[in-house]
Amino acid sequence: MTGLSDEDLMDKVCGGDERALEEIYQRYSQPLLRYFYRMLWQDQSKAEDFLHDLFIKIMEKKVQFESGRKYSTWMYSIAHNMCKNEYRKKAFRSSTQHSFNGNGNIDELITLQLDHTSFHQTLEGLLTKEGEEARTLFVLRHELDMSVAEISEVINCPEGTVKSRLFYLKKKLALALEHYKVVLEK
Amino acid sequence: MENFEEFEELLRQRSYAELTENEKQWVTQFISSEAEYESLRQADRQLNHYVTATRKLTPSPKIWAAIKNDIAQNKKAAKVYWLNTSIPAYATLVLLMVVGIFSWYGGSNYNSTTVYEPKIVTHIDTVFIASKPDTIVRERIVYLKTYPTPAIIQASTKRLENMPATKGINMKEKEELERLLVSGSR
Repeated sequence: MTGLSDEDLMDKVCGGDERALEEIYQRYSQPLLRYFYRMLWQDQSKAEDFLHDLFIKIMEKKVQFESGRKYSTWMYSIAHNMCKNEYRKKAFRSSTQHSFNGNGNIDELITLQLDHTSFHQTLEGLLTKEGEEARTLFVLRHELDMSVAEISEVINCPEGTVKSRLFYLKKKLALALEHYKVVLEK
Repeated sequence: MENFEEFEELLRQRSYAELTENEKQWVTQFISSEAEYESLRQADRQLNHYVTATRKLTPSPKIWAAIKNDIAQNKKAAKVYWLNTSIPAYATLVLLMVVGIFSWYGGSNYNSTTVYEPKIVTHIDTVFIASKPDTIVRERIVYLKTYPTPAIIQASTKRLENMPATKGINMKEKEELERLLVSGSR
């Protein structure tokens, strides 16, 4: 099983082989957990719930997997859609409440964060401020080391657009995190 | 933005001071100054440092157990899927009409008296068919040659009366006679 490609394993899963699914789980459970953890407000229990739900969805949608497609991008695109739905639910729930994102500008946010919080919180605040798309790009590129082509397939967006968005996001982050150069020196 | 990934690679590997003149010329399509390059490089390093924190995240073993359990439950549910299949409204309507008609028909005959005639079942294993013969065949011998009937000869001989001169002897007398003749004496 370990020598098989993801796509071959998925073929076996479609044939009802549970050991193949377990092998896929062994390969992807950790990066997927990290993905959900970053995407869903660093809530580990929620990330674990989503990991569970994702594999159930994979079993339900296994017949939809096109054999010519790369398995990992197909799986991450399902994960991406799950996160988008969760963002929508969250937005609906907090629409009447005062929330962290949506108010004030980035500079005010950074100043506030500089005074009271750590680098991590600043980054999280900034990603929240920039929205779901920016967070997705950040996690796929930095957390999971995906190529631009893979990201393009996962979020269903042209490669050129992905590159320009990644570049401008990097510039914004660099500007916002400029004050935290000391973090690395520690 | 075509060479964005190469630019990121340069950011990771070398500082602006380490770039060749050609590379410095090349990076100007992305940045406008050395300070901007260094700022992006610093942000990149910080982000990489940031994401290493989540590398330690590992999924709980309970998740895979829960996934396996749910898959088994879904398989069981699939077996009785036909029981839970939703029926279109028109199909339900047709079904109700059919049931209604049968109920009405059964109800209308509820009070009627049904006379059952005894049914005699006879078992016939042989059938004789008698019919009047329309042809009678008679056999008769027909002689082609006719022979004359022989004449009847009537015998009219008279029965002779016992002659008086003849007198019979009995066996005793015959024996004594023979003895006399042979021995010559008596």
